[in-house]
Amino acid sequence: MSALLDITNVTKNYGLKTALNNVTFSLEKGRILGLMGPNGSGKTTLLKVLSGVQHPASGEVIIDGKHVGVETKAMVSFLPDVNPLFSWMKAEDAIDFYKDFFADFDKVKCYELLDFMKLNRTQKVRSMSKGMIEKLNLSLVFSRKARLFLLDEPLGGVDPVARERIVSTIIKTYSEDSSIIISTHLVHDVETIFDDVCMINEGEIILQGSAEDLRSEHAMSIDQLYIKMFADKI
Amino acid sequence: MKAVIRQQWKARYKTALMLCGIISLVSLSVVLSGQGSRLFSSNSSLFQYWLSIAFAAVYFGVPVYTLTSVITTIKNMVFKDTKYLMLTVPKKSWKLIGGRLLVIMGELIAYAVVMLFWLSILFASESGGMVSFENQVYTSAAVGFFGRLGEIYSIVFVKHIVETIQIIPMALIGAVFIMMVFSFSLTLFASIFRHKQFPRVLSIILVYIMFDLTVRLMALIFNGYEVDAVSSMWPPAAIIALLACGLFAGTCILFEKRIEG
Repeated sequence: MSALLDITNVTKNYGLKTALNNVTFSLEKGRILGLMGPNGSGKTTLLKVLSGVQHPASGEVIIDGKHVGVETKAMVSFLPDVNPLFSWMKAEDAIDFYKDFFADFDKVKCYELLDFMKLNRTQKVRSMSKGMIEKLNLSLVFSRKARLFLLDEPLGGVDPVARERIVSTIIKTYSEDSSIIISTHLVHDVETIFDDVCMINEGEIILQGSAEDLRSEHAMSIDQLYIKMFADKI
Repeated sequence: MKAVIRQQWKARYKTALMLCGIISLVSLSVVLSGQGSRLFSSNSSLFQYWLSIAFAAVYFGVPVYTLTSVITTIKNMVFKDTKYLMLTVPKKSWKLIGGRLLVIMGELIAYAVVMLFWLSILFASESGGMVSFENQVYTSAAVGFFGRLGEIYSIVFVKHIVETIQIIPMALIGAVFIMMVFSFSLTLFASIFRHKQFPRVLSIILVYIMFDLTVRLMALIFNGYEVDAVSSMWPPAAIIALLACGLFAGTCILFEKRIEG
C-alpha cells in the first residue's frame, strides 16, 4: 500500500518548550491510526501541523504527495478539540458553511448524520450542550469525502451513548481511500477500531506499529499497553 | 472569494439591518420632532439633549463600530477557537481576508447611504432650509420640503457632480486605509504573540503607533502642499491608497508565512 501521509523529522516549539521533537512516521491509505499520549504530549500540536493550522519549525509533512497548504486543506478534514463554530450559527448554517468551502462536502450525508445523532438542524450552536456540539462537528467533518480525517479527542466530554454513536460514525465513514487519525487518551473506548497505534510523550514517538502486532507482541490490549507505557510518566 | 463574501454577509447582515433601522429611527425622531436645527445647542431641553446624544452616537458610533469590526474579524481568524474553522478552509489568505473586508466595506457604504439620505431629509425638513445650519453648508432659496430636497440632490448630483464623483472614492480609500491599519496591526501582533490570549491593550498601542506613523509620514510628504480644490486631494489620496495596498499585502503575507500552516 502507498503512504497517504509522510511526516519526516517534524519539530515544533512554543517559545522554549518543544512540543514536537523530530517526529517521523507514515500512514498508509485505508488505515485508522490511534494517536495516544497523556495531556501535553504533543498530540494536538501534531494534528494542528497536519491540518495546516500551524507551521512546523522544521521537518516535512507530505499528504498525498503534497506539502501542507491550500491543496492539502482541501483533502484533510479536521475535528479540533474545541468548538470551531460561530455561536450565531444554527446547525444548518454550519452545513451551509462547509458546503460553501469544501467541494467534497456531502450535504445529504450530513443531514443523515444529524438525524442519526438526533440533532435538530435549526438549533443554534450557542444553545447546544458540549455533547451536541461534539456530535454536530463530527457530522460536519465526516460528511466530507476527505482523504485524511484528523480527530482530536472526539470522545472527550461526551456521555457513553454519544460516545457509542461517535464510534459508530467513525466506523461507518471508514473507506479504503481515506485514513483516519484519532487522538485520544480514552483508549479503551476505541482501541478495537485502530489498525495502527502511535504513542507519543513529550513530543517524541515512543512506540508505533500495527495494533495487532503490538497486542500479540506484548500479550495485552492496547489499553493495558497504554497504561503500562505511561504509568510512570503521568 | 464568492464563498467568503457569502458567509461573511450571512454572519453580518442581521447586524447591518438592525443598525440601518437604528439610524433611521433616530433620524426620523429628529425629523418628526423638528429639532434638527436645535441639536447640540447650548440651551437645550432634556429631550433635545438626549436626542443630540442619540444622534451623535449613531452618526459617529456606527461608522466607528463598522471600521473596528475588522478587529473582530481578524480576532476570529487568529485568536479564537473559530480559527480552526477559518484556517482549515482551502482558500488563499488574500481571499479570506479580502472577502471579509469587502463585506465590511459594503456595510459601511450601506450605512453612509442611509445616513446621507436621512441628512438630506433632515436638511430639507427645516423650514428655513439649511440657513438654520448657520449658512455653513448651504442656503436654500427653494420653497417647501420637496423643493428643498430636490435642490439638495441637484447640487450634489448635478451642479457639483465632478466633486461628488471624486469625494466618493476618496472616502472609500480613507475607510479602506483605516481597516487595513487595523488588520495589519492585529495580524502583526498575532504573528508575534501567536499562542497568547488576545492582547487588547498592546494591540491598541500598536494600532495607535501605526496611525501615528502614517500621519507623520503624510505630514512629511505633503509639507507645504496646498489643498485648494477637491482634485488637489488626489496625490495624498493616491499615497494613502498605496499604503493601504501595502498593508493588505503585508497582512496576507503574514497570514501565509506566520499564521497559517
